[in-house]
Amino acid sequence: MKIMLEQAALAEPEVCIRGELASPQVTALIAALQRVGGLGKIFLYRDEREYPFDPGEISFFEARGSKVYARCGGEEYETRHKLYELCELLACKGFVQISKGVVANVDSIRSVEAEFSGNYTALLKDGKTQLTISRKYMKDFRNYVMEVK
Amino acid sequence: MFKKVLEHVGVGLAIGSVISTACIALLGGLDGTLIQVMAWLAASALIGIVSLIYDIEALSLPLAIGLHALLCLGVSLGTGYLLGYGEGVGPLFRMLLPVFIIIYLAIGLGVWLYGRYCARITSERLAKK
Repeated sequence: MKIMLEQAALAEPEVCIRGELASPQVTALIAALQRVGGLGKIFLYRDEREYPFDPGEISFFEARGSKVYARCGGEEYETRHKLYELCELLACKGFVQISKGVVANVDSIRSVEAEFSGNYTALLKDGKTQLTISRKYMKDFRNYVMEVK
Repeated sequence: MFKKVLEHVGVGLAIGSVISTACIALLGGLDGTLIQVMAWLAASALIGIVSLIYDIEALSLPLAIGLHALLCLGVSLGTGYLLGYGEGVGPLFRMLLPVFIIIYLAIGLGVWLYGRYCARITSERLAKK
């Protein structure tokens, strides 16, 4: 990997990554930049194209099989991050794990209902999407809503 | 602060009950009463292990409560039988069963009501945002 540093009079540092963007090395670089807050955007993929999104535009992430998908405005995209990485990266941006395979944006949740099974159902603000909050994660979810929000 | 005090009291009671029971037994105080205390302490520890069943996400809460009830009934039945309570397993079972049914129905109702309360206060807070 070549690293080039260039002195410039800019208001904030500018990072440009050139090369094979789908490579694991670039994915790790992007993740590292996000951890230091260098990236305000999350990169999502669909049909071999890449789209930058503000985390606030994403309703939730869902792990299915070996892949993680993001739901934004009713559309589904793929992300190169693992679910636990998204938990860490987006904890400060209002994302909470609500079940083994789902990390949700708390701002996208309208209400919560208790189910007889002991789990909870979260109804999103789009009025039609429902997510399951498992009882194992409900305590942390509730604490986040009550204390942080 | 109060919660922390309670936690420490709980831990103290748990450790103290085991240690003091063992010390009394070792110092020549092993009588019928102390044997019962030791047996029920062991049963309590087993029931504590049985409570791990609630961590199994694949089990729905009503099923977990039902299984917990059955297993705890089994532990209590076994402990009572070994201590010579009642006139045998059958009469002991008939005596314990209604007690467990009532207790676990109350637990189930409490859990259900608490779940609805949690959902309600969480939804109210979400609506305020």
